[in-house]
Amino acid sequence: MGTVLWLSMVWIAPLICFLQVNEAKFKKNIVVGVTLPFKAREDEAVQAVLKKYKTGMWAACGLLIALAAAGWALAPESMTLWFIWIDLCIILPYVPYVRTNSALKKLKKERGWGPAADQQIRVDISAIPQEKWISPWAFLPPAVISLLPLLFDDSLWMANVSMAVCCGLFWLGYRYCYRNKSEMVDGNVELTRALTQVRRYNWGRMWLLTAYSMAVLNIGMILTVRSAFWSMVLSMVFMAVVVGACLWVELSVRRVQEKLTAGSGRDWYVDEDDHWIGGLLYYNTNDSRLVINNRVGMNSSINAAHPVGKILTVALIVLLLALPFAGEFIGGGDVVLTVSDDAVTGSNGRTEYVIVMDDVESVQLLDKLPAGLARNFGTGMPNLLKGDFSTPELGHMKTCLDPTVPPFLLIETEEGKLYLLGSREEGAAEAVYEKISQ
Amino acid sequence: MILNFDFASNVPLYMQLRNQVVIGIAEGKLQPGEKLPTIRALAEESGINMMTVSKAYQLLKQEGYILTDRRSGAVVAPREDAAGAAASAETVEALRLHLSELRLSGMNREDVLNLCERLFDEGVK
Repeated sequence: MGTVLWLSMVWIAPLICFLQVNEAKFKKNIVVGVTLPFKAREDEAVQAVLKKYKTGMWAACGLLIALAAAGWALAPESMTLWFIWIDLCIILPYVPYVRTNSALKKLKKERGWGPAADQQIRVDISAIPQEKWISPWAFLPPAVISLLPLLFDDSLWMANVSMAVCCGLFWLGYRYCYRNKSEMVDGNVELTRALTQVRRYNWGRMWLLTAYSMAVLNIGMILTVRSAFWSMVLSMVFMAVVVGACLWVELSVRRVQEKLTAGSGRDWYVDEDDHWIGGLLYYNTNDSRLVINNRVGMNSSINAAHPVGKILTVALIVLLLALPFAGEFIGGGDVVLTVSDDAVTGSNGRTEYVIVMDDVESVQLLDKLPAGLARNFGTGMPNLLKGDFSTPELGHMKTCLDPTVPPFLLIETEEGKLYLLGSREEGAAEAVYEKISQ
Repeated sequence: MILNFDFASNVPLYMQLRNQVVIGIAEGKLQPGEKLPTIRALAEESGINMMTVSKAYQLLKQEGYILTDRRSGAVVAPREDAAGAAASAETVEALRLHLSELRLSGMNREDVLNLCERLFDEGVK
């Protein structure tokens, strides 16, 4: 299971680095977050900086893969180590990025390539986008498809309904995580309109693609619910499809931006470098908008100068720093099984199953897990099974145990509810079994 | 037509917008009947607060430069091409002030008239 855990995410290192290396191509007169005039594209010093950047980025990629291999070899099932590695994947590629951004800005200043420092914003009113938004009804079909499995099997109703709701959230993301602003690069109105349309169209396409993929996943879940292996395969295929599709759309937009602006930067051009700290973080006190569009590609970012933007930025940093500690909570914490005269309690973290003693119909002590045990909803880690599980023979049961520490208690109540519980403490399950049997 | 907003200027943003629309109309960059961006669209594009854009549009409407309608938005008002039309009292006072500033800067009558002629002709092109 640990091998699967590492393999399932090791690809993000080369993916992130690939996207960062792509930043070394001029798009909209911008390269590695710095706006440069047309003549800079042939400048030897600029080329040298970009070459060093690409080398540094692939070195970071190699380092991350090596660290993943080391993590897998040392402690394959350590969630803490895994989350630390995820953090490094997010942070490490930005080291060569920020250094190159700084080097290019220095070069820009030395060559006198920047515009005169001013506080002006230029708006071409003839290029302001007029296109209408995709209707929220376009997101209804995937939501309905997500609910179709309920007609045949309602065991995963929570997952089905959640994913249908997600389709609605996707429309909200499409509509409100986008700034309806023209993609002005220079004084060419037609170029501005073309770039704006490309971004807008692909933005909507990406969200619709994701919504429909979610719907297909929902159908697949019903077909694979009895097999943990095929469920996992389905999840990985879904992730590959969604990531692949989004990557394809992002790269398409970048390619078009590169191609359409191949000849730009000879006269007047837009230069907003002063508002982008390190080429990464947008900070503009004169901009009242929270959500802004990334200058390259089609994604969005936030204005860190906005009051809510400040909160979100701090929250993101806290989240990144806290991520390694999440390993303790996911799959960590103790699996406890206790019994009193009144009740039996199985718990892990905040999850607690309490069975009143008088309601207990029968109890079995199992040396191994029931055959065909599959997760419907909850946690399925190598050292923790928690939530709603089922087997073909027994049906649904609430589960809280460490599968690596037998034996396990299978308790049936008078209402026909099943509980499969365990404990990490040696002898605890046997003691509870004895108590209940009495 | 390109609008420039200078955040370092002492002139309030709504006045900058108002002034540039007026100049745009005078210079023919904005034609009578031409639709202006909606308040929301212009605010979204420029990053300026919607209330600021709304204030500028309200002022332009009061001064008769634009017409606004809930459904069709704001359009440039048709101009009455009447010879000998009189300027508003506010415009005359503003002109008086600017002429005084030019005189104090050392320009003589002929220089001022030449400057006025040049600026007027730029708008006519």
